[in-house]
Amino acid sequence: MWFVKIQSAFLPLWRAKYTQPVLATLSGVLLYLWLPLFKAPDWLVQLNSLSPEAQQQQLKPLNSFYKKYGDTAFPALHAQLELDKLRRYEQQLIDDNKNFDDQDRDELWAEATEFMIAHLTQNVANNQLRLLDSECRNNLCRMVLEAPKGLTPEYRALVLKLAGSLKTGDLEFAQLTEGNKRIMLELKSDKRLKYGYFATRKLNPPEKAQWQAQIKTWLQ
Amino acid sequence: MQPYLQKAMLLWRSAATLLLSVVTQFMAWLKKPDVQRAALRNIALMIGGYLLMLCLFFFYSLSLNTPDNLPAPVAQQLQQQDVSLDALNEAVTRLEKKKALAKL
Repeated sequence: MWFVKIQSAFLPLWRAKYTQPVLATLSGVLLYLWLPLFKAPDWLVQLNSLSPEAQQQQLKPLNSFYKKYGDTAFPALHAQLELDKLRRYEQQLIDDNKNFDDQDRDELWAEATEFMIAHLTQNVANNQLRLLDSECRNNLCRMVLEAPKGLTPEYRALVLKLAGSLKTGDLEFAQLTEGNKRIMLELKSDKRLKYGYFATRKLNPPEKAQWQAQIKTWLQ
Repeated sequence: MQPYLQKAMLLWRSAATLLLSVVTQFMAWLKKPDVQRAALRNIALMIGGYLLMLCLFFFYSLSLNTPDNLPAPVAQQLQQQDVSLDALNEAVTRLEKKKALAKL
């Protein structure tokens, strides 16, 4: 009872007086965690959390590398670390574009491929397949075919024939979904993904050529 | 003028009027002394929170020791690199492989 009384007397006062300042300070703290001005390198933090034996184990490849090549390998090591960062970023972009729904449209390729799909569907199976819809995005395409009797063996053979022809046009069959009197085919191309302006810029920094040259020089 | 353009202009005019009235009201609210005081205090606290974290991170980094089994030149070189140990070892392995391939 006494707790409720104290709470009802002080809580509104506390809320009125301290909620805004606490939230403001907290937002400053969160801002630092998002955009830190300074932080210790990850490898140093990781090493400090390990025992000396584990440290020795972790540093074994690096130490033997330094012993073998000495200070002359530093520019190449720096370049390799930067190139690895770019490679990881590209891998993340590829993972982000894994699904059809996540992809943006590469207009030039998509339009040409949609045309090719329409053309092949019409010609390969002698007009026995009816294309209801097709849509291509960055390296994935979806096409919807009419299947009035479902996926019968004859129809399956026709679809396989079409898939074979599409493969010659660099479109690999990826998935088939059966619907009501229609089937949906998902096709994947080996084409390199096209990214937005900022991602492309981040993937190709002006220093990239210099890093590659540094490694090449060290390898000679 | 095209009819759809006329409609778009009307829509734009009403949206601009609405936006202007919202901005005017906001500016009038902001001119109140108690609001200004509270806003300044909150901005100062936000910057304070940011600086507090900067100090915490800085003093924490001072408490970290470079391991004895890491040669000093390597530690000095790596000081500029914010990478994990796995990334470091991966880069070393890649360079070793490239060197071995180049020798062939």
